[in-house]
Amino acid sequence: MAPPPPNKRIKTISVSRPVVYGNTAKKMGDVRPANAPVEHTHVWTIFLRGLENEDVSYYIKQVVFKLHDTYPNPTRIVTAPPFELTETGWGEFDIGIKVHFVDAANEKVLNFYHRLRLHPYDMSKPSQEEIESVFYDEIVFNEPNERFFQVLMTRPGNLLPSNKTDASPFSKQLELEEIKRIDDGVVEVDKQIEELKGQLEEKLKAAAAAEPAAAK
Amino acid sequence: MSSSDIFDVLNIKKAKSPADATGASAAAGPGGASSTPPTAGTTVVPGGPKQPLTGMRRELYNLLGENQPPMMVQPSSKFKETLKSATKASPWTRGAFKANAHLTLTHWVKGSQELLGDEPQESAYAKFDQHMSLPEFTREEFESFMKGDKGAETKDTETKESEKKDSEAKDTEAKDTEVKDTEPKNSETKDSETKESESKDIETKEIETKETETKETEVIEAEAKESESKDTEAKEAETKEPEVKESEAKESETQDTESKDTETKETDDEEADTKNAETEDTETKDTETKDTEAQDAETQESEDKDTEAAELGVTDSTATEQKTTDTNAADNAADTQTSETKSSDAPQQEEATADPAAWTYEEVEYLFHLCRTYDLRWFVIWDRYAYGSVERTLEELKQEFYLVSRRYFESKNAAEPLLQSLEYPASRERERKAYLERLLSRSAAEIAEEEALVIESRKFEMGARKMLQEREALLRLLDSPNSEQSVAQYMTSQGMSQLYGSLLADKTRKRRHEGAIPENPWMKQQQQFAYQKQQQQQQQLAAHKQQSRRRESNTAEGTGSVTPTPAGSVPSADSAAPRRTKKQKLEQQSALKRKSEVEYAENLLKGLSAEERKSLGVQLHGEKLSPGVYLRSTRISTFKPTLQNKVHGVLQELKLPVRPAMPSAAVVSHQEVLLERIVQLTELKKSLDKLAAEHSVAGA
Repeated sequence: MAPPPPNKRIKTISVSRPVVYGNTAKKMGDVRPANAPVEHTHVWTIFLRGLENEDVSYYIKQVVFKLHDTYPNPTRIVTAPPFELTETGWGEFDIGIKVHFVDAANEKVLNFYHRLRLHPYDMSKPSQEEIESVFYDEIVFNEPNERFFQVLMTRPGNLLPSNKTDASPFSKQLELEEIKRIDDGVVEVDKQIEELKGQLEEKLKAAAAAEPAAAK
Repeated sequence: MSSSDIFDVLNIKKAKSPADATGASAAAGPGGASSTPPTAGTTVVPGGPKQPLTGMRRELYNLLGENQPPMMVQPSSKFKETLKSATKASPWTRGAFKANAHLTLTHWVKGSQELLGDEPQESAYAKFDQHMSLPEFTREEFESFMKGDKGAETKDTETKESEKKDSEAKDTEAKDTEVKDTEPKNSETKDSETKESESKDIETKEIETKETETKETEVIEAEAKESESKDTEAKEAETKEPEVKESEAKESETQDTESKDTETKETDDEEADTKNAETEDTETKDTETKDTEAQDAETQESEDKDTEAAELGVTDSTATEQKTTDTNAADNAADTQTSETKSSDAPQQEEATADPAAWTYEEVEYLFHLCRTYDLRWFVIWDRYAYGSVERTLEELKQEFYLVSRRYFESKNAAEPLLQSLEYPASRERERKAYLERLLSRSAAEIAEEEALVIESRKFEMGARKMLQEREALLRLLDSPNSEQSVAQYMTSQGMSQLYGSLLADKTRKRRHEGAIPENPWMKQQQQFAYQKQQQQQQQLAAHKQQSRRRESNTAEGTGSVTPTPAGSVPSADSAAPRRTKKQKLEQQSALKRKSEVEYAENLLKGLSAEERKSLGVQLHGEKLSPGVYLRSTRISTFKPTLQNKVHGVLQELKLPVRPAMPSAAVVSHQEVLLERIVQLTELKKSLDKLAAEHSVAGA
């Protein structure tokens, strides 16, 4: 069996890589960056990284953060890890994140948004020093080509930490918890469905019974 | 629904025209006797004021519709010019004709004098100048044939209507007592006495017939007599009788005047129904006036009676008083019944007196005389009818006439087949007239309401039908995929898509058949043949293809074909056959290709354990997904906005986030299951709500 050309996609296979993206924000105290405008109140950092800060550069070439148009040079290109950007500001907005993959991947740019968060939404925990808005997601390469597949197979990039930590909650434990919650939801919904089905049958029966009566 | 009704409903007032005013007065009373009531034909005048149609006219008009003339008579359209003819005009001659045996009149006829001759012509309508031949009989004959079937009749009556029974029982009674005619008839006496004062007013106004004049003098005499001596009951009765007669005559005259303006205008041969209705009207009016006047007269009467001496008079007045109240109360009931009750009310007063409503030979003779005179024009007969103190309704007259006629003919020839048609069901006739009256006295609002109700009921019917259809469709949907069959053939993705396709086709086909033309059995069979043939071809083709393909493919493991036999039982038309085979060919090709791909991928991952695969994040999904990179969270199912909102609502209820906190492969797959269930739930809710709505509508 001759090896297929390196650019041929391997069908029916998908490879996923977990990433974490989000931002941290802090109120500016007396210490202000030199060039920060007066109206800016917060310092924030937006980032995209591997789950445990592991290296993602073997498949990510660069990340482009598209800031609000009011920023000077709103399109910021980060070409080397860590893929993060620190800025100051006063308002929350959607930051466009464009992930460029290594040339070997021959993949299109992955595009998504992150809503910058500066203010604590959860009032039950006051006086938070640093605000965090972090999301877990998985980059899925569906049907990668041969070459990239080989690249991806070089390291176990999908490993999850087994337990939650304060630094990062995303772990096998959380995954299991999540599945448990969803399954509970499924059970609950199933219960409701059965209930409704019973009602529906009753109604139909009643209607069927009412019809001959009405015909008389 | 005519436009006039719409006007009525919308309560649009039309300008009062003088014609309208006279019409109203004509309807109100005898004042405007000369003005003809406006007919539906008057509405033909373009732009002219329309009369509000009521009663019978309205019904007839509704039957006819807007009666427009074929050509609009307008100053602009020179219709007279079109009448000019090229043919030479023939001469017209004034010729004489015999109107009847005694009268000769002249008229203009076409043709020259020579052609017609000098002799007066026979009238063209002479053949219509005929009289009916009604049976004539002597007293003895009457006695015999009325008595002859008395026994049989009494048996008969038991089965017949109560109305008939009454009158016939009275008949037999009447025969027993010959003198009953001269005896006072309590119900009429009352009425007449009470009406005395009132009828005198009318007398002064109107020209009276000689008969009534003589009766009046009699009355005066009788009254004088009454005041002088009330020795015997018989005398009193005598005095009362003329009174009765007089009042009856007057009554009939008042009726005359009331009904004259309507009746006289109409030709005699007008439909009996219209007459019926009109006379009914006047009749009811009459009784109403009687009611009110009776009370007035009561007091007057008691005053009169005060002048009378002795206890007899007193008892009489009290009795009459009592009776007047009786009549007032019983006015609503059927005439014969009232008279019956009255007679039973005071049997002690007039012992051995016959039923007042009973028919004597004289009265029957009188009735037949009138019938002969007026050629059975019942309204005229009823109008002129003035015999004794008895007040007869039209139905009574008819009933008696037909009864006597039947007896007569029975006595002549009992086997006469036409005897059956001499039945006259008086009670049913009364019922009919009552219904008719009610129909004609409906107000515009009532008519509108009726129509609205009919429309409403139609709507309900339509709704119910639609609901039934929808319910059927729902039931069909519920048990759509036949679960009895094995599901093995649907296990592969290809089989799944096939099932989907077949279901879709099924659905559309069912839709198409709803309310469409019924299936032609012959066509069905043809289709079936075509389908079978096509099936065979397919199978052959598929077998052939597979063999060749297997030979070609480098992955010659020979695990057998994955192509399931066509699952759908969709009989398709002949034209679809080639396309289908092509499609199937493509499907087969792609399935084979996929298979080889899966094998290749499996080959790649052969050395990896499940744990290793997981840590590498590599997955064999075996599905046809578009290649490329994506974030897993973006592949969570989304729905149409409304459904999406509902799903989110349910998720919120379950205290679950819309986006899982950790959208890993396992979590997302679970999330998908959850979403699927939620959608099912919302669908169920929807159909349940719909059913509840249906139920509430159906229940309402």
